[in-house]
Amino acid sequence: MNKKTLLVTFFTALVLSTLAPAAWAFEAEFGWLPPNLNPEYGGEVDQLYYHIMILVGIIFFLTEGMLLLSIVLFRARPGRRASYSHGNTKAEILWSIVPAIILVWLALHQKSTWWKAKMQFPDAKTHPDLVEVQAFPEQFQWNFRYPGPDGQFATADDFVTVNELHVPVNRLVLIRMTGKDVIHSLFVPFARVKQDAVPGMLTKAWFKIDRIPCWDLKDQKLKLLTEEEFRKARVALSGFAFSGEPVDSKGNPVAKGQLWPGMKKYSYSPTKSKRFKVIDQGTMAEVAREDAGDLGLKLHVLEIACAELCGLGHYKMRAEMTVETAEMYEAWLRSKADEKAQYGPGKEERERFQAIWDKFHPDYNRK
Amino acid sequence: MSAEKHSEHHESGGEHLPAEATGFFRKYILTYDHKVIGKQYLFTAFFFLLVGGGLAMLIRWQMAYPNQPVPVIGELMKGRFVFTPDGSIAPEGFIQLTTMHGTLMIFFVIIPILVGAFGNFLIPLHVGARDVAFPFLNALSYWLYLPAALIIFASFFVPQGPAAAGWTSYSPLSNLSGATPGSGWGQTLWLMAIFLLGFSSILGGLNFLVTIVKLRAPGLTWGRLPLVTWSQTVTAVFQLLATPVLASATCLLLADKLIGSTFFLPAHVHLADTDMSPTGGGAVLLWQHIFWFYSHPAVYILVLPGMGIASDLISTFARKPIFGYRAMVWSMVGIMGLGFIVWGHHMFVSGMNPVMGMTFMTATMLIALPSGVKVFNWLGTLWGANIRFAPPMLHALSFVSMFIIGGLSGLFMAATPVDIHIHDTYYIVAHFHYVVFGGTLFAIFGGLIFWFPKMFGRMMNEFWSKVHWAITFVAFNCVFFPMHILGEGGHMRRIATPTEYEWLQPLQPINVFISHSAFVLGAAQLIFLANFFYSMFWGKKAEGNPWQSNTLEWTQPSPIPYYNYDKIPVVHHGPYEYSLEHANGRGDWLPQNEPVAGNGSSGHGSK
Repeated sequence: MNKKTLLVTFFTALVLSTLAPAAWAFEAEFGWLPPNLNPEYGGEVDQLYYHIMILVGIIFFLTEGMLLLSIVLFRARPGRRASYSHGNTKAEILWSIVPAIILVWLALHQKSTWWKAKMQFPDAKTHPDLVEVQAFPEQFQWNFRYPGPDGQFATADDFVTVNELHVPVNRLVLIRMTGKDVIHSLFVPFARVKQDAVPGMLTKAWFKIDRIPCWDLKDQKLKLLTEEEFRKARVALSGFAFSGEPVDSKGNPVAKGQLWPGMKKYSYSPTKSKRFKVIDQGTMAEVAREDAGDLGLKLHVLEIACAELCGLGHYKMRAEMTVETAEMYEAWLRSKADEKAQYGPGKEERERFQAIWDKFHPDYNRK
Repeated sequence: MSAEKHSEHHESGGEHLPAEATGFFRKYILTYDHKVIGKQYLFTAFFFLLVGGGLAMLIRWQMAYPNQPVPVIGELMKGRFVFTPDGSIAPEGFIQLTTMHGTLMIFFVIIPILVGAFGNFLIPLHVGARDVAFPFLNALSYWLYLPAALIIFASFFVPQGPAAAGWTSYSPLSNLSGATPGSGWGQTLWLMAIFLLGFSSILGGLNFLVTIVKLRAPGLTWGRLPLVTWSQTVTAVFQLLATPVLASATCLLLADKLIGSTFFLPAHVHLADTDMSPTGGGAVLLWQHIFWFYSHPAVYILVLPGMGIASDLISTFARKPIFGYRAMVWSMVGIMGLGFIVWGHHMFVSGMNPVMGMTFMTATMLIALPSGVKVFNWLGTLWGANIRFAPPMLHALSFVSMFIIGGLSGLFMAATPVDIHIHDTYYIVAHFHYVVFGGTLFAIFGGLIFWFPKMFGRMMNEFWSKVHWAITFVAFNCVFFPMHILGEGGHMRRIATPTEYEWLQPLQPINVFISHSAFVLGAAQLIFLANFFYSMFWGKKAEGNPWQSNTLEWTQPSPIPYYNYDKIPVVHHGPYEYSLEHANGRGDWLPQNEPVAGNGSSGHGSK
């Protein structure tokens, strides 16, 4: 092998050696994209992603291949002379027109999904079971307001949750939002949802979640159950505590201060106080249990993050979305109403919501 | 030297030129010589390259080892700058790091090197002139850049530290002093610096444009300009049209911050429970529109001169005329035209009307077309070539291969639905680093090694140049390719600790891998700097035309004499007449000022 061939081998090996392991490491853990739980348009987004990936992949291998081939074939050798050519008009016209057609097609190909995701919002008239929520993020928390039993916002029976969103499985959810202080961005990676919440503007995001995230306590990893599977499973609601010890790649704990902590790993184990709440399989009602026993699953959450830089606490602006059955969701709504009856209407978050949103943006409550 | 005087010399063939100043101050500091001003830009930008690179290292430390004390530096800086008392990086410090890294690299490193250093040094040489059209304006534009750079540097030392609202400085985060540490003095100084820099840019662009239009040597038609100079022409137009918009935007935001106007604040923005804008009347998205109306074209200001440099290097070392010269020029013009109507693709999920999203998507997709033409033409140039793998060529080839990746990854985020998922994630970070580092910075390295003999009269060490290139190329890909995978996984930009989120947990090993590669990449740049400064003083003496290149500057001795050309050269053909069979007794090259014997004055490209 001469020096130049060595160089080319080096080039090729390089590209493969840097790209492949990284891609593999991620793929093995996760698949190319995080799981998608939004059947309305999330799957289409993924599909478009893969379409572009295929197209881009072909162009990538063609062009980089041509480049490598030229480097090998046309390296300088004594006595050789380059061909004297100023171009080839036919070739240039060809490689202008073909990409132009592909690109315009690619742009038009995006339209229906984009329209669906950002233009065609469901409304309560066509979807009577639409779940409507208002989001009013501030530094550094997500405030969500539910309309309460009367289904109207800005009334006395509304309630507000902080960093906690509950949605029933397989039902459309519409979130109306505006910013209180700076721009925030509602990001639900598992549902392919991202929308900025901007002060002075009303923006909307909608989605449907079709699986219920549960934590497999035996394997200590996320499991996504359909509603049917969930109804057959025995799932704990509480009684398990979270720990985020750093572990190395083999799962062994790592001492603090060691240079290569690798990663933290989430795991859940039974708490000492042993108060277990479990979902009853038939009625989906909560029942108390004395021991962890045969519980293999814990009800888990989907994470919500803020995608727009919003200040020093940007990185921890994390909210949790609980996906549950209709019965569980109704029970949760009732418990919130009860809570309110117990503590009176003066709950702090709700008052702040009303003081700003309802005082200054009353028209944002119109449907 | 005024413009009239200059054209007088132009005609008189250089008999009454004033003598070169001899004092150090006049020669190197307050000078009107375009070559020295170019070097002033270069060295100032080198300093900020080190600062910006250092910030990047701190960012990578935090991403791999969140909240762990930074070795050595953290120990020294405990409780100061962005560090907590235990020497780790504070969350507010982290966003200051990302903000200042972006700001310094874009505004104070890449643009000054490409336009300030290369533009200044090469344009008069390439057009066969003794200096730019307005040497005083030229000096003034550097002396506006320097205070801007000093102001941005000073912002590191003000209470609460430098700006922290991202290099995009979105209002209201940048607008309200209480919104985040750094949005007080730091942000105000940031705006002042960018405002000054805008003026510097406008003066520079104006000057270059006039120089290229008016001072071209006899016979140097538009069709015979080297592509570097063509790229500077297009860039100058960009700067003249887009930079005033940025200047007005910074002016308005300064007014919001300092005298209580509300251009970018709607009514009733609340910080905690205080109403910060009882009257309002402004719009949050207005800043984004105005900012990106400049800053998207600025992305092309960042890459077009790089494309020009790559074109020149590839043609020279491929020993072959550039493939489709006219298409290369028109594609740059096309990129400029389209570059002005794509800014909205930064705002797909911002709340901007989704119908406009469709329009901006289509325009953005179409900009892949002229970019693609350029790539295909580079490949066409290499096909059938006789490639010499000198260090500048290695960098130019890296430019092409990395620009392909950067361009292709752009298609994902141009597609509006896909952008919903990858917007504001590391996918974006990966994409623009492939363009700005993988593209532009490789072109800069290549260009510096290539024109080093013309700048300093010596050659850069070839072996160490190759070592630097190899490490940079490998480490660059190890750093930025895995970022695509982080982005697909939904890893947000600008988060101080990636381990807060459960779905990001499995990605953390990738973050660690990236950081270690980044430290290697950072260290490798020291090889380049050492090589650069060592060769400046002790490198091998360069001959007039060490690369056997055709453009006018290579007909002069190295380094270029004070007045560039004793006698203004007469140009007979285009700059890329390599491997032409001719009777001039040269192997495979033909200087632009040399008529082909027996062929009249017209080689190819004479129109």
